[in-house]
Formats: sequence, structure tokens, C-alpha cells
Amino acid sequence: MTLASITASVLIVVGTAFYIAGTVGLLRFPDIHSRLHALTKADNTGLGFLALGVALLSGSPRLAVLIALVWLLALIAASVACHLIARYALDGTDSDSEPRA
Amino acid sequence: MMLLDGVLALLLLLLAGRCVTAASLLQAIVAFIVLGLLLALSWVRLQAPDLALAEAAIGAGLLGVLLLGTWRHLPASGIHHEFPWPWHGMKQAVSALGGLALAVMLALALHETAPEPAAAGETALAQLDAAGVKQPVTAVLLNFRAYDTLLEMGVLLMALIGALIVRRPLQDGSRIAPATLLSPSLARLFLPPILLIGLYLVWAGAYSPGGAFQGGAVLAGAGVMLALTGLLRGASVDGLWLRGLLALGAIVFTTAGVLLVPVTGHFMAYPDGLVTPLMVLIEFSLAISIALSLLLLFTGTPGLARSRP
Amino acid sequence: MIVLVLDAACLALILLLGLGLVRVIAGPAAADRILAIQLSGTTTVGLLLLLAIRLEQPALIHAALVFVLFAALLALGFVYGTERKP
Repeated sequence: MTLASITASVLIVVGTAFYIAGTVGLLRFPDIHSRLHALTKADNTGLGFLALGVALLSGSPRLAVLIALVWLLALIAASVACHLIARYALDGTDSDSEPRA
Repeated sequence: MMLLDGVLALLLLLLAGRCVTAASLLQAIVAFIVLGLLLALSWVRLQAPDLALAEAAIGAGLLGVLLLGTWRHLPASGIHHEFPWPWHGMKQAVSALGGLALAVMLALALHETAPEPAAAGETALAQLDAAGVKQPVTAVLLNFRAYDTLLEMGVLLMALIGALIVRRPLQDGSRIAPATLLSPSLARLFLPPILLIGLYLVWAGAYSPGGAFQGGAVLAGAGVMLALTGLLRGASVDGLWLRGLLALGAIVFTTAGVLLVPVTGHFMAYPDGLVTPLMVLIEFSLAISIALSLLLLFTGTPGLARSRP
Repeated sequence: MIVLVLDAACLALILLLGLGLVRVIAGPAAADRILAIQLSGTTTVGLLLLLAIRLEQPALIHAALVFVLFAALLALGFVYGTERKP
């Protein structure tokens, strides 16, 4: 058990804990905007820790860069996606079954 | 890992059931997209990273956006065409019969499968050196069964032509760009990495999982993003260049197959020295055609135009 | 040891995917379901990264990358054409 793999294990466990928090938040929070809050913070930090752990384990700089890219793009994608969903929900005409004409 | 597989299989069944029993179209679409995610994971567990990539790009990604876009375009009423009595009952009867027949055939197929199904695979692996690419899946797609792949390209073009025939004038670029500033900036920020990853996947097909279909779908995703953020729109007129690019894959593939007949003596056989550059050429031209036809399937128009703000 | 950690994390994530399905199915609003897709997507990306190391298949990182790119497209596709003029 090397130092790197211990660090990676800790990072992966912390990341998974953030995922758990995010999912519980998505299920338990009362309205859409609080759910958004739970999701964006928790699971992007979660993915960050996980990516860091996995990058440590990958043992190759090329893969580590690729993994960093995954996280970076995920951050950008998630912030824009959540902004769009929040705006959409704010309009208040969010009904489920039918699209608005 | 056993536990993981078990949970995965259970969730797959649950979601597949949900897809057909959901109360509304959107619920079915959402279930379908999540099903795509889980399917990709299943392919990973079945040691088929090529299919996992294809599922990620086409199944969950592009198809999900296509379905959501179609859902948006549906008029507020008249989605549920309730058929009159005899037809309604018949629809369910036909579905039930079809499902039953499929189940019986699957059971028979599983029963009939010989214990050594890998004969073709082993032959292909043994011949890999002659294929011009290091990745077995790409070798099979572009070389060993090139004819099938050419026809698949044809099927995609057919699907596009079919979609253009039934398209509604509503979709003719009439939708305007979203009013938020963020989405065009997302497009500008994301465009370079998407194009890069798409091209990389096409290129990587020669030696690792990837290839024309996966890369083409990612490139189409880049176009879809431009269309969704209003930087690109569908147009009702198409240029000659667009038609040319749509047909490029089939043209290059067929031309290479026909022109080399005097050298090799067989249709779609490639001479030893030329095989690797030919593979790359065919792969890239296929990817361009695939990307464009998928993008046009999304916009539902025969042409594309740049939007001016 | 590290294999054990990876396996446990994978199992936890797939269970979370299953839990997230509650929001996919229960909604109640359309935006809730799209939110659930976003979470499922990120969870899948995490799983793919873990599996890439666990199964020693670096190509899975490419699949994760593709999922990330399409996650933003799904949200864009969902809100497309619904926004107010400023």
C-alpha cells in the first residue's frame, strides 16, 4: 500500500460521500431550487474528488490530463445546465406532461 | 463486481418497463435517456468499450437531445392520438403478440446457440495484421465486413431522406435562439473541445475504441449545440456542397472499393501497402457524412445556415 | 485494498443511480426529471472513471468525456425555445 494509493482511496471515499449527499439532497429537499443547489455543489465536488483519486491511480500524465479535462468540462456543463433549468423553473409554468406551444 | 452487475441488470429492467408504461411522453423520454446511461455501463461490464462509446454518443446523448427537441416541437394538444375502439384494442394486441414472438425467438436463439460462437471472431483476430488498423472492431467494420458498413451508411442516408419527406414546415428554422447570454457562450467554450474529441475519436478508431460512428456522433453533437444556441439554423434550401458532404462517405468508400478491383481482383479489397491510409481516409469521410446526416436529422431540414444576430 | 475501495465506490454509485430514479419517476415537475438526468449523468461519469481504472480500460475515460459533453446538450435541448425575451 503506497502513499499514493492511500491518498487516492481517501479521495475516492470523500468523493463518494459527496455523491451520497447530492443524491439525498435531490430526494429530500422540498423544492426544485433547493434540489438544484444540492445537486450542483455536491456532485461536482464529488466528481472532482473522484477524478483526483482516479488520476492519482492512473499513473500516467496523459490519462491524468484527460481526467482533469473530464472534470473541467463537467463543471462548465453543470453550471450552464443548472442555470438553464433554474431559469426554466423560475418561469413557474412548469407543467409536466405537455410542452408549451 | 457481481453485486454491481446485479443492481445494473435490475435497474435496466425497471427503466425499460418505465419507458413503455410512463404516463406522459416526457417521462418516457427521461426514462429512455437514463436507460441509455445504464446501457453504456452494461456494455462496459460486457467488455465492449466500443459499444459503450457508441451508446454514450448516440443512444443517451444525441438521441436524447433529438427526442427532447421533438417533444418541444410538438403542439400543446393533440399529442395523444386516441384511436377509435377497434384500432386501440388491436394496437395492444399486436404489441403483445410481437413481444411474445420476440421472447420466444430470443429463448430459441439462446437455446440454439452453439457453445463455440467465437469462430468468426478468432478468424478476424488472426487476420488482424492484414487489416491495416490495430483495433479489431474497426478492422471488422471497415475491412472484413466493409460491405455491411457501406450499407449502414446508406441506411442512415435513407433515414435522413425519409425524415425530410415527412418533416413539418414548422421546424424550418423558425425557432429563435434562447434569450440567455449563457448558452451561446457555452457553445463557444464547448465547440473546440467537442470538435477535438470528435476528430480524436475518429482517428483513435485505428488503434483503440472509437471510430467513424462514435466520432461522427460527437461531431454531430457539436452541430446540434450550435443549432440549440442559435448560432446555426436549419434552412430549407440545401447547397451542392452539403449534398456532396452527405454522400462523401459512401462515395469514397465505394470508389476505393471499385477502383482497386484491377489491383486486388475483389470488390472492396485493399492492397497491402495502401491499406492503412485507405482505412483512415474512409473513416474520416464516413465520419463527416455521419455527422452531417445526424445533424440534419436533428434540425429536420435539408440545409443549414449561419444565424446572424 | 485499492481494488476493494474501487469496488465499494462503484457499488455505492450504482445504488445512488438507482435511488436517483425516484426523482426520475416521481418528478413531480419536468425540471425535476431533467435534474435527475443531470445527476444520473454525473454519477455515470464518476462510475466510468472508476471502472476505467478498475478494469484497466483507459478508453472508458473517452466515454466519460462524451457523456459530459452531451449532458450540457440535454439541458439545452430541454429548455430550447421556451425562454423569454429579456
